[in-house]
Amino acid sequence: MLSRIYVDNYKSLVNFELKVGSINLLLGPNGAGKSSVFEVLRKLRDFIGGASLDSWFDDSSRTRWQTLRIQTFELELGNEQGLYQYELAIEHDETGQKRRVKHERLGMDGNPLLRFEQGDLHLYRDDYSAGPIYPFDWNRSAVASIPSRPDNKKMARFRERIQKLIVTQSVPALMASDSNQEDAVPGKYLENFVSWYRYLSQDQGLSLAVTDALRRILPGFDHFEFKSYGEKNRGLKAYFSQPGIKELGYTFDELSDGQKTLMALYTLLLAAQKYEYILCLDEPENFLALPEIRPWLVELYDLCEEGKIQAVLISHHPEMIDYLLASPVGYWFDRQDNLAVRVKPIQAEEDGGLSVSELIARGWLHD
Amino acid sequence: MTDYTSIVLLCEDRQQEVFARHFLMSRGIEKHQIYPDINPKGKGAGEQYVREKYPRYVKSYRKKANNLSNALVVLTDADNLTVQARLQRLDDELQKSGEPPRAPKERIGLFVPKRNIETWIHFLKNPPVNEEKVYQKFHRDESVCKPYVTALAQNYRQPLPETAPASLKTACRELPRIFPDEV
Repeated sequence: MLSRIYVDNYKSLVNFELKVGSINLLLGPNGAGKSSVFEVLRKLRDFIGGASLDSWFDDSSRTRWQTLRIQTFELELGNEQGLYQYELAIEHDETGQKRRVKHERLGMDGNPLLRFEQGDLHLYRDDYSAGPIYPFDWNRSAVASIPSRPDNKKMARFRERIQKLIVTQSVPALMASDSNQEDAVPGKYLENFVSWYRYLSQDQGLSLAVTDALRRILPGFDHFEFKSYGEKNRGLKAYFSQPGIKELGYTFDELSDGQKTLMALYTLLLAAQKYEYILCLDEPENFLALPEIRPWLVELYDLCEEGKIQAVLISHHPEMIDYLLASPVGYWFDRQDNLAVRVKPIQAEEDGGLSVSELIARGWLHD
Repeated sequence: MTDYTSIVLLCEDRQQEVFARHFLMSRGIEKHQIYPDINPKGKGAGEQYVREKYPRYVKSYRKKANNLSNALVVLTDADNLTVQARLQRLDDELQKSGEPPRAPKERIGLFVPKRNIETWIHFLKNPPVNEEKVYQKFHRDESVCKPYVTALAQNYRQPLPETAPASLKTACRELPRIFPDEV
């Protein structure tokens, strides 16, 4: 489980720390830095997945009012073996045109697993004994590049775990109905949902679970089917049936925005449960009808509370706020004078006053 | 089994919600058919929230043309009152709002743990309990009750042990209102 995120010198995140639990709701006004946290998580996932530094952390991502040229990112992530600590520092040059990894470190419970500093990569074994040292690329993640071996399983597990971060927001208008490949990870706006579902549908158990869940929540839904168009292209069709009416198939783009979103949200839940994804969802309730929000949310809450998945949500919706904040899982993001983000746990007062969602709507929370 | 469209679950806090929702699900109600309404933080006392909202739900429930496919499940702790006194307060609230008392066939179930929901959970985990005593809460670990609630739900037709809290016995007598076809 992801337990801590630390960011310094990235957009409005300066000396920023967030400690998270199994379910978390990030709240705050627009521009308060909530989505920047998600952006950082997505970039770290992709960097640790092998993307080059230049493609992800350009000079414009540094905090504008600071002159500091170093950006720092830290993650803490626990599993049954211990607590991983990951640190990445990126140094930008004076021109803003070039950048390099100043250091990248991975450890567990305070012991080293990997250390890249000043151009040298220090490797450690699973028992934390020192391994080889050699020069390494300043522009790539060492964690991404080291092949898995029998004596570095801890590092390899961290790399796999980080790839389980799903950072996304449903924008149904962008969801293509065709797919020319399988995608292992849903995109920023779930625009590749059909390609991701194509990837997931290789797992028949998961496909059946998704079908079963959608039959329960979408009136008349029967099943999905991929139709081949040419060698690689597949289009996703959703079939609906009603008593006395012939089964009707609809291409994915013929579905409503709400139907697409519901399908995506339930697929996310079931896939997360099966593959231990960490879900970071930005305004997941968008496009849903009011009665559809709470059943999905209750399902998500149960899975998180039972330790089966972890979720970090951003939402402005009272249905989400009032249900989730019956437990102390909320964090309020704020920026004084448009400067650095400050975050604090939401401590509701038992004073017989307004609910948290009402306080937020009136601008009275932490006023 | 009763084919419900929706069951509204009106309760004071997360623990009551987890307990009641899990009970309903163990009796075959689908998760998506249950709409929890928990006292939102900041609204003050949970008891007051439930008491004030109860007549509004009853009014809306009665206006629905086919109210047999809907149900209202209400949980409120007795705290330092008796179960009867707490139920009386709910009845008084109905009367104040101009609504008649609950009719026997209305699918409105009132469940009043004494002293509170934790008393029932401690009983299910490790009997006996004292209904006057305040038991420890399961803060951020509310689902600890689930296996015990499942067992309770599966055996609810059987008489509870002698040592069961009186408030739990009273609550079990409310269940036919929600599951009339199973009696």
